[in-house]
Amino acid sequence: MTVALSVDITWKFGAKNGSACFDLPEGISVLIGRSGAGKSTLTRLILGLNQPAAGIITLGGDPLYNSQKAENIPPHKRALGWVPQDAELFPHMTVEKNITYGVQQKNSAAYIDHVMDLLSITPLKKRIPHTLSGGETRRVAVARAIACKPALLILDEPTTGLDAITKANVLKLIKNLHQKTNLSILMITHDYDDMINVADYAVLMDNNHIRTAGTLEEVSQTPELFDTLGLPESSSILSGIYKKQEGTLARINIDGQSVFITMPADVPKVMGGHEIKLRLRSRDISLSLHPTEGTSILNHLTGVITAITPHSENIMVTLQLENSTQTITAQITEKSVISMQLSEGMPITALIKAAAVKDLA
Amino acid sequence: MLTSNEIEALSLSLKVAGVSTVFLFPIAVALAYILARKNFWGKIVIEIFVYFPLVVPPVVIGYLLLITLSPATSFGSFLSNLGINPSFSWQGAAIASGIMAMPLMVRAIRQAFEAEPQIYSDVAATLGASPFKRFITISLPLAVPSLLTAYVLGFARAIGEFGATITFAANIPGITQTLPLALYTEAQTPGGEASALRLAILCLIPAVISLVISELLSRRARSKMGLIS
Repeated sequence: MTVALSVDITWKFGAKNGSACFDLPEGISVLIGRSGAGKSTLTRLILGLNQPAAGIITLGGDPLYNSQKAENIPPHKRALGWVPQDAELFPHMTVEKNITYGVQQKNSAAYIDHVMDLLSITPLKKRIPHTLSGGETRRVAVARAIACKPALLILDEPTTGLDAITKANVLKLIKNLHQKTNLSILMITHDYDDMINVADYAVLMDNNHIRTAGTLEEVSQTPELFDTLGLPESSSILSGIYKKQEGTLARINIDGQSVFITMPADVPKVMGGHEIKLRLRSRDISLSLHPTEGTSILNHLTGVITAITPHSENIMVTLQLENSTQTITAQITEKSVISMQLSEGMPITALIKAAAVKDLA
Repeated sequence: MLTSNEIEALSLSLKVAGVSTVFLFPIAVALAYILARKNFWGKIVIEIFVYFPLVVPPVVIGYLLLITLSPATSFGSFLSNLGINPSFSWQGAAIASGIMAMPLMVRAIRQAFEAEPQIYSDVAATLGASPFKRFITISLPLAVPSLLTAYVLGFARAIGEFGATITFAANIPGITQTLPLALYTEAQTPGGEASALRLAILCLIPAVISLVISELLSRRARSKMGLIS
């Protein structure tokens, strides 16, 4: 993987000690954690607005901070774009002046027009920030940050305080932005839905330290994630290829095995052959020792048990799918584990209702 | 209506207060910014120096100026050789009123910088703005309403300056006799009551006009930024 941002630092502010060590690949990453987990502090350290106690930060291989070499690039020389939580448009400038504030090159009018077009804010050009709506304000703030062509764009809680529809639009916009500009994005959030809807890669933070980091599929199954976020349940994320529509069902190929999900035929969300991500709740997955017939459950995925971990009053059973590196986790009772005599390395079949699988496309 | 003496005092007052505050203003902005945003060893020394005239009797400030800048002292004779002779001149009155207005101006501007959210400056930094560009394009324009108020406060204080001026620049009609000094003289003179009253009113007019102008300008600036509707 090509590393966009590499962080290995410690910090100390007053009585608070913190540390972070992770590499972000190119693409969309999420730094997730509860309020007060230290996400904002870490963001400010990456941006250079505060200084770590020790360590190294590099962006695309170039050093931003290195305590041993006494290197510390000031914030205005770091190729990082930042959209703070409340957008913070400069109140004394028009939308256009805000967007062009950081633009250095003379001949960038065409690029600015393109950026404004991309974010559908061209008609707002002459407006004053306090006359904009919440969604407009955030779009202008994104435009202002990317107008400087940063190597990495940091979005701080971009969906906080938005209604469900505006929130969905913002998430769509973030994905769209990455697809159209190939810009790497780090989104800071406390929201599990934000994470599973946009992220390729996730870093979980708790109590000023990194708990785990990895691909969305890896992080979404870790018990740390739902413990830290206080989620009632864990989920597995599977990547597959959309094959075809069969009535109200869509057939998805997961490394050779088929999964059916409900998808209205008149709303073809994805074209055949496109990658699609599926979310499976652990509590919706049942296990069977043998492939079963005569059941209403449409999805039967075969694999091998790789881990059995107790979690509160239940047991989490992780299985690796056949001919695949992807894993899913089922939440079942201790009684079932004992009666089925489950153990690591055992072949197993996971049963999932089509209606319980959610697509994240 | 007004005697030539009164008109002279009025125009001298406007000149002294105008010149002193125009020179003082950028210095006050710089001092206020440093005191609001920077932490460094010896900051307390600058603070004491800036706020000194606020707590010391004006006559003491005038006397200190007199003994440091009069041609009898080595520094004063050095200035005198350069052709600068502040004591007993209108420039001396400007220096005295500028020093007396400084603490008020610095305090008002400092409060504006301290109240201003640091985050705009932070965002500007991530957009590639150097500390100097951030100061000129973000901190300063956002502080405009308070800067206007601070300027007017300083101007009004300079117009009203009495103790330090009379001690340092003396009470010479047409040269250093500003409105308050002329008022003081007339009040001491038998039969000067009418003139004293006119001078008192003259002292009030510039103060009221400048307060109104600053309030209007500052309202306009704040409503443009959406701070008031």
